Amino acid sequence: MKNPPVFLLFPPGWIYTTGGSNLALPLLKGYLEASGIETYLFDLNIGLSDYFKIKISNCKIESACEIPSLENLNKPYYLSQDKMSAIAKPYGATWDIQLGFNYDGCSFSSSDEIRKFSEFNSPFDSYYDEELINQVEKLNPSIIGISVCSAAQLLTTFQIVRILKRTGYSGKIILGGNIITRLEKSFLKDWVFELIDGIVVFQGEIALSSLYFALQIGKELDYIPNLIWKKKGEIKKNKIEYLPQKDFGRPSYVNLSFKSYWGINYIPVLGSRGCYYGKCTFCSIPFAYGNNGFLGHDNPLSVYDDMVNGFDLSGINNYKFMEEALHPAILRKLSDKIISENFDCEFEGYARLDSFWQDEKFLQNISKAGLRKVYLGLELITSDKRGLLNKSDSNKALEMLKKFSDAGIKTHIFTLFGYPGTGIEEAVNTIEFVLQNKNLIDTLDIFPFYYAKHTKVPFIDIINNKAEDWALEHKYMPAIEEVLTMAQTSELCYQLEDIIWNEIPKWLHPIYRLYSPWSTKESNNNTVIKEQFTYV
Amino acid sequence: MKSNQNHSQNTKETFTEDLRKIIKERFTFGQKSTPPNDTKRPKSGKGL
Repeated sequence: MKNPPVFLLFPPGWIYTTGGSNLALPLLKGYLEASGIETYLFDLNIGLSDYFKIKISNCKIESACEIPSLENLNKPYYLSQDKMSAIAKPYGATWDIQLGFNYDGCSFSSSDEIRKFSEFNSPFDSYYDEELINQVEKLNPSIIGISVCSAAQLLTTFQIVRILKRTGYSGKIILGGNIITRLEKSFLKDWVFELIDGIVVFQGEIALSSLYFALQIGKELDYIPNLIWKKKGEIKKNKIEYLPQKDFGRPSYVNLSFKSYWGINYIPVLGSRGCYYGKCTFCSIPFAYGNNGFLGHDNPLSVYDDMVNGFDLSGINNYKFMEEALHPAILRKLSDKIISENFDCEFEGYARLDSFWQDEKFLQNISKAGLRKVYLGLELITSDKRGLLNKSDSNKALEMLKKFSDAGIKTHIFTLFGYPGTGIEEAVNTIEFVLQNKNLIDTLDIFPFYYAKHTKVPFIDIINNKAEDWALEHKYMPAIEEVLTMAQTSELCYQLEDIIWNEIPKWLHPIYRLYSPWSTKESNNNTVIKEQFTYV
Repeated sequence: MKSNQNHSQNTKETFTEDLRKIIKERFTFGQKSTPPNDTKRPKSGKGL
């Protein structure tokens, strides 16, 4: 008799203005299938885009980017946004292209409100009934795993869980993902565990495969790493184990509806797990990886195989590296392999301003291999205060930007204003710097400082707020005079972002980002994106 | 670093006025006109 499969869901709430899927579920699927477990994945977020026909066509995106004024970029954006708003409005809700779905008056930071509002009817109910429940009934999975990677997905996750329960699904419902890991203790509530069977924190590969086999043979669940579950009425936390490098799996992109993603499409890939540095004081990303934020590098030749497999499956040869910071150990060997195999591709990824990027020969080689854009954490231009962020990177940002430009590699700049101990002057100097060097920069973000949970930042005091138990950031007060308040930081970012909107709107506009990393539209028009399979 | 001092004691209005003054002093935009207030801007869904 055929064993029941695992069904992995990516709930609505993820941003639409990306060119490809989230990588969490393809990684899990690949690992589970290599372990002999039949696994299906369903990106409900992008499925909704198809269901309601809200996707912005590439034709409109390319047309808007020919002269990327705010007005031109807004046209296609608000055609879809207005349609989404109209769908949500009768439900007393908003549905935003980037921020997801929410009811008026509901805060994702409050478990009480998520509990309450997740019982409300949603404009997505008919989609869940027609698409999701239909698939669940056909597959009859032993485990449904739901990956929660943004706060907005908390609400839709519990709506989906309630529907699964209501329609009689009797297998295990397990939640995981970055948000669940970051919430961990505050997530352990009786009402949550009345709806679900467990959560998995940190990496889910070993936990899900172990759970699957334990359920098959009726074995106890106490030994399953990273699983938090209910045993005899008590919530039990099993031991934590981070995924060892030897167990890194290969992603499986089967079941993804590549054509559905907005903009010029890419396939997500992963060269390293986490951030090889991981010590920036403001950054909470390392926490969710565990192991001090870094699990290790993958084998570059295996990553190359992932790229080729993705192309063979989808016809897409653009790739986004999802690790927090590209590392030369991966890039060198991968580039050599791409060049030696004459594999035609383009790729982009996040990067630190580390000195290896100053090596012109290295840059030329990876550019030849296909690197088209890097997303750089500048935060602030060099000053006597920048050291407070503990970035420990190069102070030669301008030199690097010039070298990236010379090598034909575009740059995105992340800025961070209002970090305690930094203020107006550092922020204004940074904006002045980017505007003076605008020809070296393709896109930019301005982030206000947030006091992320699981980070420790000096000179500020946390304001405790029990009602916001699922907040991912603390509210805070300055502990010393020189620190900006949250309101001042917000105002600082608003005013400086206003300058950028007026001067170079394409830097901030999501429509431009769906287009800019990749080369000519002619080559993309020639890409034949293959249809994907149905589940059963 | 004078502009960093004492901001936490300022009212929001004073801070905003100070900031506007600094921006006006530091940035000159000559040719470009500010768009009308009703020009929409997408909400920020940053980092991606």
